[in-house]
Order: sequence, then C-alpha cells, then structure tokens
Amino acid sequence: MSTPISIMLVDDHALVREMLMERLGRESGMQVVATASNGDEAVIQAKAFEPDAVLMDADMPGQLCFDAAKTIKMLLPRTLIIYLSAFFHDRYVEDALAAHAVGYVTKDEPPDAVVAAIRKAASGVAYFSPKVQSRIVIDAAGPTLAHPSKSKSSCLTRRESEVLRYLARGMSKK
Amino acid sequence: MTTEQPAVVLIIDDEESVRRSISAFLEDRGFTVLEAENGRIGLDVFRRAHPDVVLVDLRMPEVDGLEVLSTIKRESPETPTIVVSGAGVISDAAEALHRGAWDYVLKPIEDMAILLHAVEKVLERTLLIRENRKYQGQLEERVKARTAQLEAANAMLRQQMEAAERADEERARLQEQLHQAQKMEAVGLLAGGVAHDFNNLLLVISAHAELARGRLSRESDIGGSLEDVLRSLEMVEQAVEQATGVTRSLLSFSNRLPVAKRATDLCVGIEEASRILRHTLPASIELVIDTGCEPAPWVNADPTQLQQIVLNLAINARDAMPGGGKLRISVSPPATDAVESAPSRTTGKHIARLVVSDTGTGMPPETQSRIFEPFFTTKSRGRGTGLGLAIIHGIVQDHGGQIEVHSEVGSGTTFTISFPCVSQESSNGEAVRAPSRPRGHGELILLAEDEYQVRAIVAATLTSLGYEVVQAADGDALLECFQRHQSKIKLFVLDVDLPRRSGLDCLRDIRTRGVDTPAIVISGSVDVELDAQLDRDTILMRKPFQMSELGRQVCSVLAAARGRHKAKV
Repeated sequence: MSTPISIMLVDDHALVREMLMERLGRESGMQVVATASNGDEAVIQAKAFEPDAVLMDADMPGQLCFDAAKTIKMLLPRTLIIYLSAFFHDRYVEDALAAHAVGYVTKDEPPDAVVAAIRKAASGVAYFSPKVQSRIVIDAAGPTLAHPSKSKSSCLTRRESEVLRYLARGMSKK
Repeated sequence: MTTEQPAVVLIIDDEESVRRSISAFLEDRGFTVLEAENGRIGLDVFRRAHPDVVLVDLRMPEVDGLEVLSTIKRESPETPTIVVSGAGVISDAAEALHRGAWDYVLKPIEDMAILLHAVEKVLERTLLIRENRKYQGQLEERVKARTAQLEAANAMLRQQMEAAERADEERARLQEQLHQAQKMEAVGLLAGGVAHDFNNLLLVISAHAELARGRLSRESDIGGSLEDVLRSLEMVEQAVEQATGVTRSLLSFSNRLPVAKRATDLCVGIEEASRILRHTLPASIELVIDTGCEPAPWVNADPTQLQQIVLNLAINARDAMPGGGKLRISVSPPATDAVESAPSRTTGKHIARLVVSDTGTGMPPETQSRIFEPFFTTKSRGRGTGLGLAIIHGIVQDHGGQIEVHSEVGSGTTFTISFPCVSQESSNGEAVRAPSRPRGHGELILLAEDEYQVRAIVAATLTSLGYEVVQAADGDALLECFQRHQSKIKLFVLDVDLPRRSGLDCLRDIRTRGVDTPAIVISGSVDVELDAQLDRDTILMRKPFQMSELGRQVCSVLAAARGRHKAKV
C-alpha cells in the first residue's frame, strides 16, 4: 500500500476547515496532517509537518496567501499548492500560477472536486477549470493567464483589495 | 534718377577736343554734361555733383583713370563708369573692368552711337539695379514684418500650448483625484449595499431559525408544527439561495461571472422570486402576484437574475410606499411585438412582459431620466447604493430585453420589462453554441518537461482533451519512458532544455532507431539555429503559447501523422 498523500488545510473559516478535514479524512490514501487559519501560520505548520499538498484558501487575512505559498514552495519545493477560492478571479488565478500552484478549485464546486484536484496534482496533472486552463500561457518565465479580464476591481491596488476583503469580513478599520 | 530730369554725365578726359565732341553729342541727346580735365578735378566734380554716369579716360596726368575708377567704385559703387580710352590694349581693359568699369569704349570714337548705346545701357542697368534694390528692400521689410507677425503668433501659440499642457496636467491630476474619490465612494457604497442586502437576508434566516427552534421546542405540546418547521427551513434555504444570487449579481456586475441563462418559464421564475417577498414586505403593503398566463412565456434567462430584478424593484416599491399601498407583479403571455412604436425593436418577435407597479409616491420626469445611472439614488444616505436599477438595466440588456418606466408623482410607478421569448426546448448555453474543440481519442503522448507546474498544466490540458499522457522530468526519464511505451506513443511533446540530456538530443537518439513518431519541441529561447536542427517529423513551439494553441497543434500534428500513415499503407 502506497504512502497516503499528507495534506495541510489552510482556511480562516473553522467550519470550512472542519468540513474539509472530515471530507478528506474519508478518502483512502489521504491524510490531513495539519491545519492553519492564516498565511503566517501556514508557513510555520508547513515547516513542521512538510505536507505533500497544501490546500489553501485564496482569500484570507494576514500574510497574503500567495506570498505564504511562495515561502512554502521555497522551503519545500516538492509540496503541491492547490487553491480554494470563493470564485474565479483572473488576478487570483494569475497570483496562484505565480505561486507555483497546480490547482485552483472554487467553493461552488462539490467537495469531490477538491479530492479530485489533490489526486490529480499528486499524479502530476494540474487542476484548473477548462475555461481557465485553455487561457493559460506557457511563457519562458512560467505560466500566466492570457487576456486577463478588465473588471472594475482591477482599478483597485492589491492592498486596497486586501483591505476591502477585511472589511467584507466585518473586521474593524482600526 | 527720374524720367523728368535729364541724366548727368561727367566726362573726365585731358583732351579738350574729346570732351567737347562727346559733350556736344550728349547734350544734343538731352543729357546734362559736366567736364573735368584730369582725374583729381574729375573726382572733385564727382563728389559734388553726383553724376549719373562717369566717362573716364585712362591716361591722364596727376590722377589717372584707373585710380578714378577705384575711387568711384569704393565711394559710390552704384554709379556706372565707362572707360573711354585710346590705350587699346587688353591688359588696360582688363584692369579697368577689374577696378569697376562697367563698359569700355575705344578712342577715337568713330561712331558716337556706340557711346550713346553704352551710356544708355549702363543707365538702364543702374535703373534696374535700383528698382531691384528697392524691391528687395520692400520685400525684406515685408518679410521682416511677416516674420515679426509669425514670431508673435508663434510665441502666443507656445503660450497657449504651455497653458493647454498645464491645463491637461491639472485635468489629469483632478481626474486621478476624482477617480480615486469615485473608487473609494464606489467601494464604500458597494460594501454598504452588500451589507444591507445580506443583513436583510440574515434577518430572514435568523427569524425563521428562531421560529423553527420555537416550534420544535413546543412540538410536544402543539401537534402538526413539524410542517411549519419545514416551511421555515424552506425559507432559510431560499434566503441562502438569494444571498448566493446577490453575490452572483455583484460578480456579474463587475464582469467576473458568466450568467447561467437557460430556457425558463418567466411565470415560474417570478413566482419563486415573489415567495420571499411575502415574508419581507411590511403588512401595510398588499402584494398581488399575477402570473397565471397561458401559454407559458419561456425566456432565455438566468433565474437568479430574474429574482434579483423582482427583489430590487420590490424594495424600491416598498421604499416608495412608506405608508403602505399595493405592489402588483404580473407576467403577460407571449405576444407579437408588432404594435410597438420604438424604432429599436424588431417587430414580429414574440415577447413576454414582466410588469411591476406600485401605488407609491411616484417620480418627477427629471428623476425618471436618471434612474438607470449607476449610483443615482433618491434614498437617504445608507438606505440605497444607487446600483439596483443600474444592475437591473444591465441584466435586462444582457437578456436582450428592454425596460421602460412610467411614473406620476402621487400616483405610483410602473416598470415594464420585455423579454424575447424562446421555445421551451431551446437552451442558449454557451457550451451548446461554442464550436467543438479538437479532441483526442486516447492517443498516448510522451510529455517531457522539467518544471513540475508547467508539466502538470500541459498534462492537464492534454488529458482534458482526451489524450493519455506519460510524463518525464528529464532526458534520462524521457528515454526510459520511451523504452517502456515505445509502440504506443503517438506524439512526443518535449522541452528543449531538459536536465541530464536535452530534449533534442533525446529525440535524435530516438530517430536513429528509425522512429518517425511526430514531435513537438517546446523552446523558451530565441535560438534561431533551432529550426535547422529539426527533422521533418518535428515542429517547434516557441514560448509563450496558450494552452488552447497547444491543443490545436497537437490535434493537427496527430492528424497529419495519421494522413501520412494512411498514405504509406
């Protein structure tokens, strides 16, 4: 019997973490070895547990999850990064690609999609929606996204987007 | 010189007979003649009288003719001089012309007409020179004046341009400030609007959750309450669905999310949307839903967006009826759009109409003309984002429909939304209309790429297109894979720069074994020599390339290989 895929879950919502832990725990060949509720914690936990795969929420407070992923990849180059996000946003997908992610699952997909993404990533096959995948451009510097959409949110800086996300979560402005 | 006054001719010659004969001849022809017997006197007369022409002999005592010529040329270069001399040697003539003589007449003058001709010729030339100079002078003056005008215009233009540049900079700066301010305002309004909508829905959820809890706790005492609990849970589910719709609409508004349109019975869609309204509108508002139309009006629509239209219009109606009133939501059966007068409409089309009317305060014409502008609101701060009707307008347009408003102050407002009808079976899903992508049929592709992420993405693309993929991370692994799957491999997709052995090196090795399986070589470098190293079964793909392009290329290469194979057979 082969070694199970060790997984770290990173999501600031405890309910989501617990749901995923419960769901992945039922899968054979998968083991959730660590959880974290933000990017900073994720880096610490990754160092301690060296998971095969990190399933990370793309929309968390604290150190930006994409920066955390880059740090984890630097420390553990073989660790696979898979993003879980509320929606497909070109900027997020681009950031995920830049953070060497091999998967991007949206939360409106069934939990089976998360399982499939982890299994695919572990077998060397990326998991992006077909619509996103066909737009990926392989450049000399790595994968990027062709024709990123010009949504109104693109007028916000990265920091403004981050602050808005905090506000949307009901966090204090102070 | 003017035509009225006779021309003055000065004759400088030491021979009196010559002076007399020339003088007599010229005076007879209307000239005024002055005489001087040598060069010195001649120059004195010249300086005092300013003759029009000077006739001068070369050989004279004291000051000779050559010196006279030099002096006149120096002092008055415009005065013509004619040498009248008996020294008929070429060197004298050359020297005289060199010193400024205009003409040369030999003595003895056998025919005085020659002299007359010479005098008239130089006078005419002088006249022309003077006129030319005068003209040049005038021209220069005009040029100078025009130049001054142009310089002034240029300076003014430069000033205007500088002012325009400053104005542009200032405008850009203000625009940037305005953009920032609008951005912040939009962010604030959006956040406020979203919070408001969600709070409403959370209120519905918490209220029904509380109701359900209360009913369950009393279940033992009150029979039949389980049905009520189920109804409350149903309402919770609907509110959650509505909340998802709000998110979807926001994302749709910022062009992030494609809408999920499908053939929808407009009546059913509106009924579902209206159910939640019954529980959220105050009791003072009478809600009338009239959707019982036959035949059913099928439209190509996103049900969530239909709900959003109804919810937004109903909220506006509620706010327009603070003291209560009647809100009527009706759907008309499909009708031929032949009587409409609007020029933009295509007549003869079947349309269905959704009509939402209230008995509220109504709107004056100036408000009606602006209601579909984003962020335009008549509600007090914190009560509305001004996005509701703008979103509805966008949704209706996206559905190929039209929205019209009729309102009278004090009587109420009616919104009429027309949707083009479709057949019940039709579906306008993008997947149905999209051209079919090239697909594989399980052909095995050997993919060699050292970068894990790139390899995984390419593998995902190829497997999603129906191909089987075996992967290799370096040259050695590539050759091992080839050995293992040799007969099954239909295509190589190789990166040029593989660790251990380059992709091209491996391919050459494979080719020496007589394998002509097609190959796509991927290169990120701009090495122009690379093409020359490729065989006829190999094509080059240079980075950057899009995954869809790779899919097409793989399909085309495999099709070409199949064609070659058939030709061989």
